[in-house]
Amino acid sequence: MDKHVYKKVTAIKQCYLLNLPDLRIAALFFLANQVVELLLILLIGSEYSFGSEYSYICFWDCNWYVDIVKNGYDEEAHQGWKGDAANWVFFPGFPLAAGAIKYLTGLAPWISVIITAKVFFFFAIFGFIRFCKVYSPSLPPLLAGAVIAFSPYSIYANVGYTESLFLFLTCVFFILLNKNNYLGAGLIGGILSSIKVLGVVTIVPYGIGVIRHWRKLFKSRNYRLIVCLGFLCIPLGLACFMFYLYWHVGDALAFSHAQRAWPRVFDNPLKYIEQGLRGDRYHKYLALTAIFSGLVCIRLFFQKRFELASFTFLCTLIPLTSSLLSMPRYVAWQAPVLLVVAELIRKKQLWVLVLPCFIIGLSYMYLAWITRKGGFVI
Amino acid sequence: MRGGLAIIIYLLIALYLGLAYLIFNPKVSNAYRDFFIEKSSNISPFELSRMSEISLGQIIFAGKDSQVGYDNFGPGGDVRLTNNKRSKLIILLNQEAIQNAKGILEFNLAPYGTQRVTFSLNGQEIYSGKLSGPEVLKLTFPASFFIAGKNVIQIDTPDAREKGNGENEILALQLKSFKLE
Repeated sequence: MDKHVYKKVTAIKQCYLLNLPDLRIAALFFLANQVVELLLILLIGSEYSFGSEYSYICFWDCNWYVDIVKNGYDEEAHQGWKGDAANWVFFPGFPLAAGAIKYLTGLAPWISVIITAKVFFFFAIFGFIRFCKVYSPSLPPLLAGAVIAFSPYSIYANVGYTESLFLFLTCVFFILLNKNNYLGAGLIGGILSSIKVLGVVTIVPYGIGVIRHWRKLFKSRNYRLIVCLGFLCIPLGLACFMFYLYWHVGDALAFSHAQRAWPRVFDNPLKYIEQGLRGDRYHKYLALTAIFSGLVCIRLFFQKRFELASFTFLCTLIPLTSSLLSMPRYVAWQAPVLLVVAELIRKKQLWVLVLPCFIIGLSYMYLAWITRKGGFVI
Repeated sequence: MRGGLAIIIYLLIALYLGLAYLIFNPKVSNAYRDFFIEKSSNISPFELSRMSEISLGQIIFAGKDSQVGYDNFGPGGDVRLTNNKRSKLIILLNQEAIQNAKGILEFNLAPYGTQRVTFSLNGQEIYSGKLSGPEVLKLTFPASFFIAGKNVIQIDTPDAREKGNGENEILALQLKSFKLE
Protein backbone atom coordinates (compact mmCIF):
# COMPACT_ATOMS: atom_id res chain seq x y z
CA MET A 1 0.00 0.00 0.00
CA ASP A 2 1.18 3.49 -0.80
CA LYS A 3 2.86 4.99 2.28
CA HIS A 4 0.77 8.13 2.15
CA VAL A 5 -2.49 6.20 1.88
CA TYR A 6 -1.41 3.83 4.67
CA LYS A 7 -0.69 6.79 6.95
CA LYS A 8 -4.08 8.27 6.17
CA VAL A 9 -5.93 5.01 6.85
CA THR A 10 -4.07 4.55 10.13
CA ALA A 11 -4.84 8.11 11.17
CA ILE A 12 -8.52 7.69 10.38
CA LYS A 13 -8.69 4.47 12.38
CA GLN A 14 -6.96 6.08 15.33
CA CYS A 15 -9.01 9.23 15.22
CA TYR A 16 -12.51 8.00 14.62
CA LEU A 17 -13.10 4.39 15.32
CA LEU A 18 -10.97 1.58 16.56
CA ASN A 19 -9.68 2.92 19.80
CA LEU A 20 -9.62 -0.08 22.09
CA PRO A 21 -8.91 1.69 25.40
CA ASP A 22 -11.91 3.98 24.84
CA LEU A 23 -14.07 1.02 23.83
CA ARG A 24 -13.11 -0.68 27.10
CA ILE A 25 -14.01 2.43 29.09
CA ALA A 26 -17.33 2.66 27.25
CA ALA A 27 -18.04 -1.00 27.98
CA LEU A 28 -17.17 -0.49 31.64
CA PHE A 29 -19.54 2.47 32.03
CA PHE A 30 -22.27 0.82 30.02
CA LEU A 31 -22.12 -2.24 32.27
CA ALA A 32 -22.03 -0.04 35.37
CA ASN A 33 -25.14 1.76 34.13
CA GLN A 34 -26.89 -1.54 33.47
CA VAL A 35 -26.07 -2.78 36.98
CA VAL A 36 -27.43 0.45 38.49
CA GLU A 37 -30.56 0.11 36.35
CA LEU A 38 -31.05 -3.52 37.36
CA LEU A 39 -30.71 -2.68 41.04
CA LEU A 40 -33.12 0.23 40.77
CA ILE A 41 -35.68 -1.82 38.89
CA LEU A 42 -35.46 -4.68 41.34
CA LEU A 43 -35.72 -2.29 44.26
CA ILE A 44 -38.49 -0.05 42.94
CA GLY A 45 -40.28 -2.78 40.96
CA SER A 46 -40.54 -5.06 43.99
CA GLU A 47 -41.68 -2.14 46.15
CA TYR A 48 -44.54 -1.52 43.73
CA SER A 49 -45.29 -5.22 43.20
CA PHE A 50 -44.29 -5.46 39.55
CA GLY A 51 -42.51 -8.76 40.30
CA SER A 52 -40.62 -10.13 37.31
CA GLU A 53 -42.72 -8.14 34.84
CA TYR A 54 -40.39 -5.84 32.91
CA SER A 55 -42.53 -4.60 30.03
CA TYR A 56 -43.85 -1.74 32.20
CA ILE A 57 -40.51 -0.06 31.53
CA CYS A 58 -41.66 0.59 27.93
CA PHE A 59 -43.98 3.56 28.24
CA TRP A 60 -44.90 6.85 26.55
CA ASP A 61 -42.75 7.34 23.41
CA CYS A 62 -41.50 3.76 23.66
CA ASN A 63 -45.05 2.54 23.06
CA TRP A 64 -45.30 4.67 19.94
CA TYR A 65 -42.07 3.15 18.59
CA VAL A 66 -43.36 -0.33 19.40
CA ASP A 67 -46.53 0.51 17.48
CA ILE A 68 -44.44 1.53 14.44
CA VAL A 69 -42.30 -1.62 14.66
CA LYS A 70 -45.41 -3.79 14.96
CA ASN A 71 -47.85 -2.13 12.58
CA GLY A 72 -45.88 0.41 10.56
CA TYR A 73 -47.08 3.98 10.15
CA ASP A 74 -50.78 4.76 10.57
CA GLU A 75 -52.75 5.26 7.38
CA GLU A 76 -54.93 7.79 9.18
CA ALA A 77 -54.97 9.45 12.58
CA HIS A 78 -57.11 7.40 14.94
CA GLN A 79 -55.38 7.34 18.32
CA GLY A 80 -56.04 9.44 21.41
CA TRP A 81 -59.45 10.40 22.71
CA LYS A 82 -60.15 12.71 19.78
CA GLY A 83 -58.76 10.23 17.28
CA ASP A 84 -56.38 12.92 16.08
CA ALA A 85 -53.10 11.33 17.20
CA ALA A 86 -50.97 9.35 14.76
CA ASN A 87 -47.51 7.83 14.92
CA TRP A 88 -46.32 10.02 12.04
CA VAL A 89 -44.71 12.44 14.50
CA PHE A 90 -42.13 9.76 15.36
CA PHE A 91 -39.31 9.65 12.82
CA PRO A 92 -38.36 6.34 11.21
CA GLY A 93 -34.61 6.07 11.94
CA PHE A 94 -34.95 4.53 15.40
CA PRO A 95 -37.94 2.23 14.72
CA LEU A 96 -36.19 1.01 11.56
CA ALA A 97 -33.15 0.00 13.65
CA ALA A 98 -35.46 -1.64 16.21
CA GLY A 99 -37.32 -3.41 13.40
CA ALA A 100 -34.01 -4.78 12.10
CA ILE A 101 -33.15 -6.11 15.57
CA LYS A 102 -36.61 -7.66 15.84
CA TYR A 103 -36.16 -9.28 12.44
CA LEU A 104 -32.68 -10.61 13.27
CA THR A 105 -33.44 -11.87 16.77
CA GLY A 106 -37.12 -12.73 16.61
CA LEU A 107 -37.68 -10.86 19.88
CA ALA A 108 -40.95 -9.17 20.80
CA PRO A 109 -41.25 -5.61 19.41
CA TRP A 110 -41.08 -3.92 22.81
CA ILE A 111 -37.91 -5.81 23.79
CA SER A 112 -36.37 -4.98 20.40
CA VAL A 113 -37.07 -1.29 20.96
CA ILE A 114 -35.50 -1.38 24.44
CA ILE A 115 -32.48 -3.37 23.27
CA THR A 116 -31.92 -1.05 20.31
CA ALA A 117 -31.82 1.95 22.64
CA LYS A 118 -29.41 0.10 24.94
CA VAL A 119 -27.09 -0.98 22.11
CA PHE A 120 -26.88 2.58 20.88
CA PHE A 121 -26.31 3.73 24.45
CA PHE A 122 -23.09 1.75 24.50
CA PHE A 123 -22.08 3.37 21.20
CA ALA A 124 -23.19 6.77 22.50
CA ILE A 125 -20.86 6.45 25.51
CA PHE A 126 -18.01 5.46 23.22
CA GLY A 127 -18.87 8.18 20.70
CA PHE A 128 -19.05 10.79 23.43
CA ILE A 129 -15.64 9.81 24.82
CA ARG A 130 -14.19 10.14 21.29
CA PHE A 131 -16.06 13.43 20.80
CA CYS A 132 -14.49 14.78 24.03
CA LYS A 133 -11.04 13.65 22.85
CA VAL A 134 -11.50 15.76 19.74
CA TYR A 135 -13.12 18.86 21.25
CA SER A 136 -11.55 18.83 24.73
CA PRO A 137 -8.45 16.60 24.56
CA SER A 138 -7.43 17.18 28.17
CA LEU A 139 -10.73 15.85 29.51
CA PRO A 140 -10.19 12.40 31.08
CA PRO A 141 -12.18 9.70 29.20
CA LEU A 142 -13.30 8.26 32.53
CA LEU A 143 -15.01 11.52 33.43
CA ALA A 144 -16.59 11.80 29.97
CA GLY A 145 -17.93 8.26 30.27
CA ALA A 146 -19.23 8.84 33.80
CA VAL A 147 -21.08 12.02 32.84
CA ILE A 148 -23.15 10.26 30.22
CA ALA A 149 -23.52 6.89 31.95
CA PHE A 150 -24.70 8.26 35.30
CA SER A 151 -26.60 11.32 34.15
CA PRO A 152 -30.11 11.27 35.64
CA TYR A 153 -31.39 11.44 32.08
CA SER A 154 -29.52 8.31 31.03
CA ILE A 155 -32.82 6.59 31.89
CA TYR A 156 -34.00 7.33 28.34
CA ALA A 157 -31.32 5.04 26.98
CA ASN A 158 -32.90 2.14 28.87
CA VAL A 159 -36.58 2.73 28.24
CA GLY A 160 -36.78 2.57 24.46
CA TYR A 161 -36.30 6.20 23.50
CA THR A 162 -34.39 7.50 20.49
CA GLU A 163 -31.98 9.73 22.43
CA SER A 164 -29.03 7.32 22.60
CA LEU A 165 -28.99 6.78 18.82
CA PHE A 166 -29.27 10.51 18.25
CA LEU A 167 -26.42 11.30 20.66
CA PHE A 168 -24.17 8.64 19.17
CA LEU A 169 -24.63 9.96 15.65
CA THR A 170 -24.31 13.58 16.79
CA CYS A 171 -20.90 12.73 18.26
CA VAL A 172 -19.83 11.02 15.03
CA PHE A 173 -21.09 13.99 13.03
CA PHE A 174 -19.07 16.50 15.04
CA ILE A 175 -15.93 14.34 14.98
CA LEU A 176 -16.13 14.04 11.19
CA LEU A 177 -16.82 17.74 10.87
CA ASN A 178 -13.81 18.55 13.03
CA LYS A 179 -11.65 16.34 10.80
CA ASN A 180 -12.99 18.16 7.71
CA ASN A 181 -14.61 14.95 6.46
CA TYR A 182 -17.55 16.80 4.95
CA LEU A 183 -19.05 13.97 2.95
CA GLY A 184 -18.99 11.70 5.99
CA ALA A 185 -20.49 14.43 8.18
CA GLY A 186 -23.17 15.10 5.57
CA LEU A 187 -24.12 11.43 5.36
CA ILE A 188 -24.32 11.14 9.14
CA GLY A 189 -26.37 14.37 9.19
CA GLY A 190 -28.69 12.67 6.68
CA ILE A 191 -29.22 9.77 9.07
CA LEU A 192 -29.71 12.20 11.96
CA SER A 193 -32.48 13.95 10.04
CA SER A 194 -34.28 10.60 9.77
CA ILE A 195 -34.21 10.18 13.56
CA LYS A 196 -35.55 13.52 14.74
CA VAL A 197 -36.50 16.72 12.99
CA LEU A 198 -33.73 18.35 15.06
CA GLY A 199 -31.24 16.29 13.06
CA VAL A 200 -31.69 18.77 10.21
CA VAL A 201 -30.17 21.56 12.30
CA THR A 202 -26.74 19.92 11.81
CA ILE A 203 -26.83 21.86 8.55
CA VAL A 204 -25.93 24.99 10.56
CA PRO A 205 -22.77 23.66 12.29
CA TYR A 206 -21.88 22.09 8.94
CA GLY A 207 -22.16 25.50 7.27
CA ILE A 208 -20.10 27.11 10.03
CA GLY A 209 -17.43 24.42 9.66
CA VAL A 210 -17.28 25.09 5.92
CA ILE A 211 -17.05 28.86 6.40
CA ARG A 212 -14.21 28.39 8.90
CA HIS A 213 -12.13 26.51 6.35
CA TRP A 214 -13.43 28.04 3.16
CA ARG A 215 -9.99 29.23 1.97
CA LYS A 216 -8.65 25.70 2.12
CA LEU A 217 -11.79 24.08 0.84
CA PHE A 218 -12.42 26.21 -2.18
CA LYS A 219 -9.01 25.75 -3.74
CA SER A 220 -10.05 22.48 -5.34
CA ARG A 221 -13.20 22.08 -7.43
CA ASN A 222 -13.52 18.45 -6.38
CA TYR A 223 -13.51 19.46 -2.76
CA ARG A 224 -16.10 22.15 -3.42
CA LEU A 225 -18.37 19.53 -4.97
CA ILE A 226 -17.86 17.19 -2.02
CA VAL A 227 -18.72 19.97 0.45
CA CYS A 228 -21.82 20.78 -1.59
CA LEU A 229 -22.83 17.11 -1.73
CA GLY A 230 -22.36 16.72 2.03
CA PHE A 231 -24.56 19.76 2.57
CA LEU A 232 -27.32 18.35 0.37
CA CYS A 233 -27.13 14.97 2.10
CA ILE A 234 -28.14 16.39 5.50
CA PRO A 235 -31.88 16.86 4.83
CA LEU A 236 -32.04 13.59 2.87
CA GLY A 237 -33.32 11.48 5.77
CA LEU A 238 -36.13 13.91 6.44
CA ALA A 239 -36.86 14.18 2.70
CA CYS A 240 -37.18 10.39 2.37
CA PHE A 241 -39.59 10.32 5.32
CA MET A 242 -41.61 13.14 3.76
CA PHE A 243 -41.82 11.30 0.43
CA TYR A 244 -42.97 8.22 2.29
CA LEU A 245 -45.64 10.20 4.18
CA TYR A 246 -46.89 11.72 0.94
CA TRP A 247 -47.18 8.28 -0.59
CA HIS A 248 -48.73 6.75 2.57
CA VAL A 249 -50.93 9.57 3.89
CA GLY A 250 -51.03 12.13 1.09
CA ASP A 251 -49.36 14.84 3.16
CA ALA A 252 -45.58 15.28 3.19
CA LEU A 253 -45.85 17.40 6.33
CA ALA A 254 -48.03 14.91 8.21
CA PHE A 255 -45.30 14.53 10.87
CA SER A 256 -45.70 18.22 11.68
CA HIS A 257 -49.48 18.51 11.21
CA ALA A 258 -50.09 15.53 13.51
CA GLN A 259 -48.49 17.50 16.34
CA ARG A 260 -51.94 19.01 16.74
CA ALA A 261 -52.83 16.08 18.99
CA TRP A 262 -50.10 17.06 21.44
CA PRO A 263 -50.39 20.08 23.72
CA ARG A 264 -47.86 22.19 21.84
CA VAL A 265 -48.58 25.70 20.56
CA PHE A 266 -46.10 27.72 18.52
CA ASP A 267 -45.25 30.87 20.47
CA ASN A 268 -42.47 33.13 21.71
CA PRO A 269 -39.85 31.01 23.55
CA LEU A 270 -39.16 33.84 25.99
CA LYS A 271 -42.84 33.83 26.90
CA TYR A 272 -42.61 30.14 27.74
CA ILE A 273 -39.54 30.74 29.90
CA GLU A 274 -41.24 33.63 31.70
CA GLN A 275 -44.39 31.56 32.30
CA GLY A 276 -42.25 28.68 33.55
CA LEU A 277 -40.40 30.89 36.01
CA ARG A 278 -43.72 32.20 37.34
CA GLY A 279 -45.20 28.70 37.58
CA ASP A 280 -44.89 25.92 40.12
CA ARG A 281 -41.62 24.15 41.01
CA TYR A 282 -41.90 21.74 38.13
CA HIS A 283 -42.32 24.51 35.55
CA LYS A 284 -39.53 26.53 37.17
CA TYR A 285 -37.28 23.52 36.78
CA LEU A 286 -38.16 23.21 33.08
CA ALA A 287 -37.50 26.92 32.52
CA LEU A 288 -34.19 26.75 34.39
CA THR A 289 -33.10 23.85 32.21
CA ALA A 290 -33.70 25.96 29.11
CA ILE A 291 -31.79 28.85 30.69
CA PHE A 292 -28.91 26.52 31.55
CA SER A 293 -28.77 25.44 27.92
CA GLY A 294 -28.65 29.11 26.92
CA LEU A 295 -25.71 29.66 29.26
CA VAL A 296 -23.95 26.66 27.73
CA CYS A 297 -24.43 28.27 24.30
CA ILE A 298 -22.91 31.52 25.54
CA ARG A 299 -19.92 29.71 27.01
CA LEU A 300 -19.37 27.74 23.79
CA PHE A 301 -19.73 30.91 21.75
CA PHE A 302 -17.09 32.79 23.74
CA GLN A 303 -14.82 29.76 23.44
CA LYS A 304 -15.26 30.14 19.66
CA ARG A 305 -16.76 26.66 19.39
CA PHE A 306 -19.36 28.06 17.04
CA GLU A 307 -20.39 24.72 15.55
CA LEU A 308 -21.27 23.32 18.98
CA ALA A 309 -22.88 26.56 20.17
CA SER A 310 -25.14 26.79 17.12
CA PHE A 311 -26.25 23.17 17.49
CA THR A 312 -27.16 23.55 21.15
CA PHE A 313 -28.84 26.88 20.50
CA LEU A 314 -31.11 25.46 17.79
CA CYS A 315 -31.77 22.15 19.55
CA THR A 316 -33.03 24.11 22.54
CA LEU A 317 -34.77 26.95 20.73
CA ILE A 318 -36.85 24.83 18.34
CA PRO A 319 -38.62 22.75 21.03
CA LEU A 320 -38.88 25.86 23.19
CA THR A 321 -41.01 27.62 20.55
CA SER A 322 -43.79 25.13 21.24
CA SER A 323 -43.62 24.53 25.00
CA LEU A 324 -41.35 23.68 27.91
CA LEU A 325 -42.53 20.07 27.78
CA SER A 326 -39.66 17.52 27.87
CA MET A 327 -37.08 20.32 27.93
CA PRO A 328 -34.63 18.49 30.25
CA ARG A 329 -34.57 15.52 27.88
CA TYR A 330 -33.85 17.75 24.89
CA VAL A 331 -31.05 19.53 26.75
CA ALA A 332 -29.43 16.64 28.61
CA TRP A 333 -28.90 14.52 25.50
CA GLN A 334 -26.97 17.11 23.52
CA ALA A 335 -23.28 16.28 23.10
CA PRO A 336 -22.14 19.93 23.50
CA VAL A 337 -24.12 20.29 26.75
CA LEU A 338 -22.65 17.08 28.17
CA LEU A 339 -19.19 18.26 27.12
CA VAL A 340 -19.59 21.53 29.01
CA VAL A 341 -20.95 19.69 32.07
CA ALA A 342 -17.90 17.39 32.03
CA GLU A 343 -15.56 20.38 31.69
CA LEU A 344 -17.26 22.23 34.55
CA ILE A 345 -17.30 19.37 37.03
CA ARG A 346 -13.69 18.58 36.24
CA LYS A 347 -12.71 21.91 37.81
CA LYS A 348 -11.74 21.71 41.47
CA GLN A 349 -12.68 18.02 41.51
CA LEU A 350 -16.36 18.99 41.55
CA TRP A 351 -17.21 15.60 40.07
CA VAL A 352 -16.68 14.06 43.52
CA LEU A 353 -19.84 15.87 44.61
CA VAL A 354 -21.72 15.92 41.34
CA LEU A 355 -21.53 12.26 40.29
CA PRO A 356 -23.17 10.92 43.48
CA CYS A 357 -25.89 13.56 42.99
CA PHE A 358 -26.30 12.25 39.43
CA ILE A 359 -26.88 8.72 40.72
CA ILE A 360 -29.41 9.97 43.29
CA GLY A 361 -31.12 11.89 40.47
CA LEU A 362 -31.12 8.78 38.29
CA SER A 363 -32.75 6.77 41.09
CA TYR A 364 -35.42 9.43 41.43
CA MET A 365 -36.01 9.35 37.68
CA TYR A 366 -36.54 5.59 37.79
CA LEU A 367 -38.92 5.98 40.71
CA ALA A 368 -40.91 8.60 38.80
CA TRP A 369 -40.83 6.53 35.62
CA ILE A 370 -41.93 3.28 37.18
CA THR A 371 -44.62 4.80 39.38
CA ARG A 372 -45.71 7.19 36.56
CA LYS A 373 -45.73 9.97 39.14
CA GLY A 374 -43.97 12.84 37.48
CA GLY A 375 -44.66 14.47 34.15
CA PHE A 376 -41.02 15.52 34.02
CA VAL A 377 -39.91 12.07 32.92
CA ILE A 378 -41.91 12.15 29.67
CA MET B 1 -15.34 11.62 -10.46
CA ARG B 2 -16.15 15.30 -10.84
CA GLY B 3 -18.90 14.58 -13.34
CA GLY B 4 -20.37 11.87 -11.12
CA LEU B 5 -20.48 14.18 -8.10
CA ALA B 6 -22.13 16.92 -10.13
CA ILE B 7 -24.80 14.50 -11.37
CA ILE B 8 -25.58 13.37 -7.80
CA ILE B 9 -25.83 17.02 -6.70
CA TYR B 10 -28.24 17.85 -9.53
CA LEU B 11 -30.31 14.77 -8.72
CA LEU B 12 -30.55 15.79 -5.06
CA ILE B 13 -31.57 19.33 -6.02
CA ALA B 14 -34.26 17.90 -8.33
CA LEU B 15 -35.42 15.63 -5.49
CA TYR B 16 -35.79 18.56 -3.11
CA LEU B 17 -37.63 20.64 -5.72
CA GLY B 18 -40.02 17.73 -6.26
CA LEU B 19 -40.54 17.49 -2.52
CA ALA B 20 -41.25 21.23 -2.31
CA TYR B 21 -44.00 20.73 -4.90
CA LEU B 22 -45.53 17.87 -2.89
CA ILE B 23 -45.42 19.91 0.33
CA PHE B 24 -47.65 22.55 -1.22
CA ASN B 25 -49.95 20.06 -2.95
CA PRO B 26 -51.11 17.55 -0.36
CA LYS B 27 -53.47 14.83 -1.57
CA VAL B 28 -55.82 14.63 1.44
CA SER B 29 -59.51 14.65 2.27
CA ASN B 30 -61.34 17.89 3.07
CA ALA B 31 -61.77 16.75 6.68
CA TYR B 32 -58.01 16.20 6.99
CA ARG B 33 -57.23 19.54 5.37
CA ASP B 34 -59.67 21.44 7.63
CA PHE B 35 -58.45 19.81 10.83
CA PHE B 36 -54.72 19.23 10.36
CA ILE B 37 -53.57 21.75 7.76
CA GLU B 38 -55.83 24.80 7.93
CA LYS B 39 -56.97 24.12 11.50
CA SER B 40 -60.36 25.61 10.64
CA SER B 41 -62.17 22.68 12.29
CA ASN B 42 -61.82 21.21 15.75
CA ILE B 43 -63.49 17.94 14.81
CA SER B 44 -60.88 15.39 13.75
CA PRO B 45 -61.42 13.33 10.59
CA PHE B 46 -61.77 10.25 12.84
CA GLU B 47 -64.54 11.91 14.87
CA LEU B 48 -66.26 13.02 11.67
CA SER B 49 -66.17 9.48 10.33
CA ARG B 50 -67.94 8.24 13.47
CA MET B 51 -70.67 10.89 13.37
CA SER B 52 -74.09 9.82 12.17
CA GLU B 53 -77.62 11.19 11.95
CA ILE B 54 -79.50 11.35 15.24
CA SER B 55 -83.22 10.80 15.77
CA LEU B 56 -85.76 13.03 17.43
CA GLY B 57 -86.26 12.16 21.10
CA GLN B 58 -83.00 10.22 21.29
CA ILE B 59 -81.04 11.02 24.46
CA ILE B 60 -77.42 11.74 23.61
CA PHE B 61 -75.06 11.00 26.51
CA ALA B 62 -72.37 13.55 25.87
CA GLY B 63 -69.61 11.65 27.66
CA LYS B 64 -70.03 8.47 25.65
CA ASP B 65 -71.89 9.15 22.44
CA SER B 66 -69.74 9.60 19.37
CA GLN B 67 -72.62 10.27 16.97
CA VAL B 68 -72.16 13.97 17.66
CA GLY B 69 -69.17 16.22 16.95
CA TYR B 70 -67.72 17.94 20.04
CA ASP B 71 -65.80 21.08 19.20
CA ASN B 72 -63.87 22.57 22.16
CA PHE B 73 -65.00 19.94 24.59
CA GLY B 74 -62.80 17.79 26.79
CA PRO B 75 -62.50 14.00 26.62
CA GLY B 76 -65.58 12.00 27.44
CA GLY B 77 -66.39 9.96 30.51
CA ASP B 78 -69.55 10.23 32.58
CA VAL B 79 -69.97 13.78 31.34
CA ARG B 80 -68.25 16.07 28.86
CA LEU B 81 -66.79 19.44 29.82
CA THR B 82 -66.73 22.50 27.61
CA ASN B 83 -63.16 23.64 27.15
CA ASN B 84 -63.10 27.27 26.05
CA LYS B 85 -65.30 30.32 25.98
CA ARG B 86 -67.03 29.00 22.87
CA SER B 87 -67.92 25.36 22.26
CA LYS B 88 -69.97 23.70 19.58
CA LEU B 89 -72.05 20.56 19.24
CA ILE B 90 -72.38 19.39 15.68
CA ILE B 91 -75.32 17.14 14.89
CA LEU B 92 -76.52 15.57 11.68
CA LEU B 93 -80.25 15.49 10.92
CA ASN B 94 -82.08 13.98 7.99
CA GLN B 95 -85.01 15.46 6.08
CA GLU B 96 -87.56 13.32 7.92
CA ALA B 97 -86.34 14.56 11.32
CA ILE B 98 -86.58 18.17 10.11
CA GLN B 99 -90.16 17.70 9.00
CA ASN B 100 -91.24 16.19 12.33
CA ALA B 101 -89.19 18.48 14.63
CA LYS B 102 -91.07 20.56 17.21
CA GLY B 103 -88.18 22.92 17.92
CA ILE B 104 -87.12 21.78 21.38
CA LEU B 105 -83.62 21.21 22.74
CA GLU B 106 -83.27 19.82 26.25
CA PHE B 107 -79.90 19.91 28.02
CA ASN B 108 -78.99 18.17 31.27
CA LEU B 109 -76.02 20.20 32.46
CA ALA B 110 -74.20 21.80 35.37
CA PRO B 111 -72.17 25.02 35.31
CA TYR B 112 -68.72 25.46 36.80
CA GLY B 113 -69.61 28.07 39.42
CA THR B 114 -71.96 30.70 38.02
CA GLN B 115 -71.84 31.08 34.26
CA ARG B 116 -73.48 33.34 31.70
CA VAL B 117 -74.52 31.12 28.83
CA THR B 118 -75.81 31.76 25.32
CA PHE B 119 -77.04 28.96 23.06
CA SER B 120 -77.38 29.48 19.32
CA LEU B 121 -78.62 27.04 16.72
CA ASN B 122 -77.24 27.52 13.21
CA GLY B 123 -76.41 31.15 14.01
CA GLN B 124 -79.80 31.99 15.65
CA GLU B 125 -79.81 32.71 19.37
CA ILE B 126 -82.17 30.38 21.26
CA TYR B 127 -81.21 31.07 24.90
CA SER B 128 -79.28 33.60 26.90
CA GLY B 129 -79.11 33.55 30.69
CA LYS B 130 -77.20 32.76 33.83
CA LEU B 131 -76.75 29.27 35.28
CA SER B 132 -75.59 28.62 38.82
CA GLY B 133 -76.45 24.99 39.53
CA PRO B 134 -77.24 21.66 37.84
CA GLU B 135 -80.46 21.77 35.86
CA VAL B 136 -82.41 20.46 32.93
CA LEU B 137 -82.66 23.34 30.51
CA LYS B 138 -85.50 23.09 28.01
CA LEU B 139 -85.22 25.51 25.10
CA THR B 140 -88.00 26.09 22.61
CA PHE B 141 -87.63 27.85 19.29
CA PRO B 142 -89.11 27.73 15.78
CA ALA B 143 -88.56 24.28 14.27
CA SER B 144 -87.42 25.98 11.07
CA PHE B 145 -84.10 26.74 12.79
CA PHE B 146 -83.14 23.11 12.13
CA ILE B 147 -81.70 22.35 8.72
CA ALA B 148 -81.17 19.08 6.90
CA GLY B 149 -77.56 17.92 7.23
CA LYS B 150 -75.08 19.59 9.57
CA ASN B 151 -76.54 21.61 12.47
CA VAL B 152 -74.31 23.60 14.79
CA ILE B 153 -75.31 24.31 18.40
CA GLN B 154 -72.98 27.02 19.60
CA ILE B 155 -72.47 27.53 23.34
CA ASP B 156 -70.92 30.83 24.40
CA THR B 157 -69.67 30.96 27.98
CA PRO B 158 -67.80 34.25 28.54
CA ASP B 159 -67.17 33.41 32.24
CA ALA B 160 -65.32 30.17 31.47
CA ARG B 161 -62.15 29.94 33.54
CA GLU B 162 -59.20 27.74 34.40
CA LYS B 163 -59.22 25.62 37.52
CA GLY B 164 -56.10 27.41 38.71
CA ASN B 165 -54.15 24.22 39.39
CA GLY B 166 -51.80 24.59 36.44
CA GLU B 167 -54.03 22.67 34.02
CA ASN B 168 -54.93 24.40 30.79
CA GLU B 169 -58.64 23.55 30.51
CA ILE B 170 -60.96 26.56 30.41
CA LEU B 171 -64.09 25.21 32.04
CA ALA B 172 -67.67 26.44 32.01
CA LEU B 173 -70.24 23.66 31.63
CA GLN B 174 -70.52 20.01 32.41
CA LEU B 175 -72.80 18.47 29.82
CA LYS B 176 -74.38 15.18 30.83
CA SER B 177 -76.88 14.62 28.06
CA PHE B 178 -79.18 16.35 25.61
CA LYS B 179 -82.00 15.57 23.24
CA LEU B 180 -83.90 17.35 20.53
CA GLU B 181 -87.50 17.13 19.50
